[in-house]
Amino acid sequence: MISGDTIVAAATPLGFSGVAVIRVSGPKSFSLAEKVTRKKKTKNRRASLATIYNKENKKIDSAIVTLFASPASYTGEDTLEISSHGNPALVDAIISTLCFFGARLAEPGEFTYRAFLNGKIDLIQAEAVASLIKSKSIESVKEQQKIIDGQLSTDINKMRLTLINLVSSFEHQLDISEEDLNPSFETIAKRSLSKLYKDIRKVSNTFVMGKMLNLGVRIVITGPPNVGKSSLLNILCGQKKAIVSAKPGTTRDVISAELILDGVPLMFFDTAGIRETVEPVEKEGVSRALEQKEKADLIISVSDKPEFLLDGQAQQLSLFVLNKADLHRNPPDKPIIHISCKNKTGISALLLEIKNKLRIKPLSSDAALLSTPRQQRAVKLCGEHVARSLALFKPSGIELEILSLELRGGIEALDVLLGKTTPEDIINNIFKSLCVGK
Amino acid sequence: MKPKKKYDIIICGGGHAGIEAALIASKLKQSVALVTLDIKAVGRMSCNPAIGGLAKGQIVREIDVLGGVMGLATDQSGIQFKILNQSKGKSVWSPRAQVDKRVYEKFVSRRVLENKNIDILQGEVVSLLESAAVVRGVYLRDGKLLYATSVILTCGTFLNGLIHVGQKKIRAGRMGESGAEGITENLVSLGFVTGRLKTGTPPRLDRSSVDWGKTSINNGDKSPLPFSYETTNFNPPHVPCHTIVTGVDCKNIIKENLSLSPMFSGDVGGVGPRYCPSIEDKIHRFAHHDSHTLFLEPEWMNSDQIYLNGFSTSLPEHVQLKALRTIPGMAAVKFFRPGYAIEYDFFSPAQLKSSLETKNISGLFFAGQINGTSGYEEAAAQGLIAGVNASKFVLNKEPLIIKRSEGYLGVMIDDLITKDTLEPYRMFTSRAEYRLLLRFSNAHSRLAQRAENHSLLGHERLKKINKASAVLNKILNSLEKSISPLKINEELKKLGENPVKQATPLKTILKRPSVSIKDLPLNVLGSGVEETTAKEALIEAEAIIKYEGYIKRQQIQIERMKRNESSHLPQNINYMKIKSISNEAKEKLSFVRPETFGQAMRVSGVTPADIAALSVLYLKRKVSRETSN
Repeated sequence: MISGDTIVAAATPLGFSGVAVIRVSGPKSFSLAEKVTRKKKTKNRRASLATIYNKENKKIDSAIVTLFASPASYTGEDTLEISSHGNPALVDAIISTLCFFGARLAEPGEFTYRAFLNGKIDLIQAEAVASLIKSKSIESVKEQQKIIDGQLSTDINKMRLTLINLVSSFEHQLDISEEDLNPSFETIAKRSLSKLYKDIRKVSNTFVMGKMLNLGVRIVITGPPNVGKSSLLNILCGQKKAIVSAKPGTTRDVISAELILDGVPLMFFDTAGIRETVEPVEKEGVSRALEQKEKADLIISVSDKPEFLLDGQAQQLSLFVLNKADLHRNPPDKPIIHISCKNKTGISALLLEIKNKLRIKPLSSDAALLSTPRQQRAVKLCGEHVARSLALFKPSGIELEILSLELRGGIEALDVLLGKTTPEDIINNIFKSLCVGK
Repeated sequence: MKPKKKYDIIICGGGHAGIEAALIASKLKQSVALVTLDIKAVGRMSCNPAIGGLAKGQIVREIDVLGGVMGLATDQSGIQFKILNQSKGKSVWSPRAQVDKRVYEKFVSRRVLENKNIDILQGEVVSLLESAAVVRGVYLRDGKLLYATSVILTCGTFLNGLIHVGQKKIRAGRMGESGAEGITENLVSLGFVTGRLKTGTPPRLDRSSVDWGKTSINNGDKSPLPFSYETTNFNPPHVPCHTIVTGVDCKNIIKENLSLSPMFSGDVGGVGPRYCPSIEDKIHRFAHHDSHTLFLEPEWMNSDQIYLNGFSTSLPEHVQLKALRTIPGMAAVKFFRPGYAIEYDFFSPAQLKSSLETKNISGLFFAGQINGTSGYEEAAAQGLIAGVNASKFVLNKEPLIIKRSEGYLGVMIDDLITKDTLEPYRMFTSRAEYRLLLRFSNAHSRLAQRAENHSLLGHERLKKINKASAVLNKILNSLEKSISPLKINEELKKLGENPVKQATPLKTILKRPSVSIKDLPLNVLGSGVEETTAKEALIEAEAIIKYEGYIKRQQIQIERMKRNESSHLPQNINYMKIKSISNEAKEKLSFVRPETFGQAMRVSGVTPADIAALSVLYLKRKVSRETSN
């Protein structure tokens, strides 16, 4: 991935569309522009109409061509963007021509990687580009944009600065001041650390919502055969996706469907009615169902007979739903949710319960949320260091150099988060998760 | 004396660096010529009449374990000993001593004069004899040519030294001693990059002009520890030192006259230290502080000359006097010598290898203030390493390189090579990422074996170091043993700690925050064990037990970094041709030419992305067209 050459890729996905965007970045960008358009001196940052020629000098397409001179470009290098007609064969031809003249096909995430290398974005922002592209809701998009805009980085940098200032004051005491510590120093330091710890906890807790927005929630619907799981699924997602039939054991495969609830993508998985069976396809379905159950963030247990619910303690987050409310005379009390798929009742109550169970909250407009496990791990690690340093304040006094060591650990965790000192493999993983052209 | 035709090693400059180099080289059976401008000034302490201090005390210990003389000289000449930072953690305890300058100088110069392997020659080295990028000897100003296999430059602040007192400028290496001209020009013509630095020094006061009754007293430790492992029956004098505090009037006078200070007004060409700042800097930077503490340190026992620590300055003499005379106790103060700033040539140490040999010329070593460091201890440490490695060079053996995880000497040399020298380098404990492991009390554990392997230790010192290790081990073994609740619970109660319910190993009890090792029933003083040895072993044992978890963590980190530290980078890389690294990295790496990946990572301006790029090219040993010349 590392070299100082010029890369090219389609920035838009493969397919038929009105417009496709081809991106070129690197030292040869401008000369490539000249070669494929046969036009000299295209103005910087001016979108202009040009003819694209192939290597035999035959016209391929008319396109809009824009040049961006370094450093004011996405990657920080000279870049070229060609907006051509969105035909895959055409895009292919343009890319081949550019390669013929000296460009190289980019690897996944390489453009964003160069942006990172050139200091245009930090690692958190780079991650957010990937997340933004994969976002399934407008709320998720907005959250990632906040991060790209630097809001999360600003919050993290503020915490980092607090730590650096504290460490500096400790080091001053250790290395410069030959005098004994005065007690007010300790009090001030402790106060500052306590506040920092609260801030870290606050940021760390945003991962609850952030993770859901970014990665979605896996909800598995389980229960015995013929209780109406597939019907429920169909109603929830407003489309007939599962096969509904009166015969028990119809759903062989794990079906998934999606619903966006307050910006959070909920992915539902129906499972085969779990029962003992010798039928091979159904058996396969049952084992797949059990697998899904383990990975679920929330389990919705459905039954049409109240006595089969609440059997044994739930190991995972669960909701209990009693279907066919229309058939029950005396439905038992909470915490069971009563629905009727046939009459479509109780559904909004169920959705409300899902929201509460998952702790889906409305988003505030200010703070950015942590959205990847990597980010949360780093913030949590920093919090652990700060917690340990708070424990070092004892009535018998504090050991400054241990305190300094712990806080430096906290700073390091944040540095890794921002990409200031991230091991190479972690950086590579982040960029590989992006697709080609990003 | 008639100089030899050829020496193994010629050392230029008889200061702290030069002395350590000369003595250790002679111990390694090298024939040494020590060329100095003034034989009488060998070992002179230019500034502070003290050795050690924050981080520096640790350095002196390391010098001692590696066979150097500074620790011993300090023990012999100290008039007050104190361990600083005792209220802070053990890894930052730093021993310090006020010394009698005359006794110190006499001790070290006698060692050099009486040494059969060392010829002291009075003269000035003006240029080097070199051919095929190998040093062959030196030329003196009087025309003499001395041949040598290796040359060490330890010229201190003498190269084109320029002293500033207010507007007065005096060409000198030190007040009262002429400077050296010529060698800088010669080195520049050989391809070396040079710069200017400045350092300040405070005035020397006339003792009889101070009203001592109005000063505060500062005492040393009652039962101090010696610096050197070789010192026995340690019973130094306990001379108290005095402090005074500057006030608003003093501050205002200095403030009004800042423009007359060449150091502050920028008249002095070189960049000055930030952390030994002039009083002008302090007043300006800490504008809201109305007072600063000054230390009155006698230059030697019963000396009439008092060094005013904390008042480095290059203000005009009359301003210095006026400002000081506003302080109670100093109303009639008189100077033996005003404070002054000295500007001098230095050579960026990025031009050196970790052995302190220059990258450009084989056999040529630089050590001391010439590398842009400040402080006697830093200079002496470099002199020692340069002396060892010049000897190794002559004997065609591998040099001695101390790692960052092994000692402050390692941290210092690595920092010098990899960091920008924007100001004189002074050691701080915060420079050591493995600070917890580099305690003054475990220098012998870290370095004695190395010293022994390289034959750096004399018989006496080695014997005593081994004794100290034995006492320490005995204590650690005792701490493994368990103690019954009956014997310890009462003590625990007194300390406010919970009692133990069953027999518990002593070390577990020691881990409790309020417990210190003196609270435990340990029998340390066996036969022939010095009190100071025992005392120090207890300090060290306590540190080992209390820091156990953290020490383990640091060692894990060291293991992790091992790969980087031992992955060598080829010396002939053309960094300017590598397109995938930043421009700053290109320049810095080309200048520094780091020896390992670990070093490359520490060069300022090199980012992790740059390292990632380099590792693709060099860790997998791919030979790429874009980088070979």
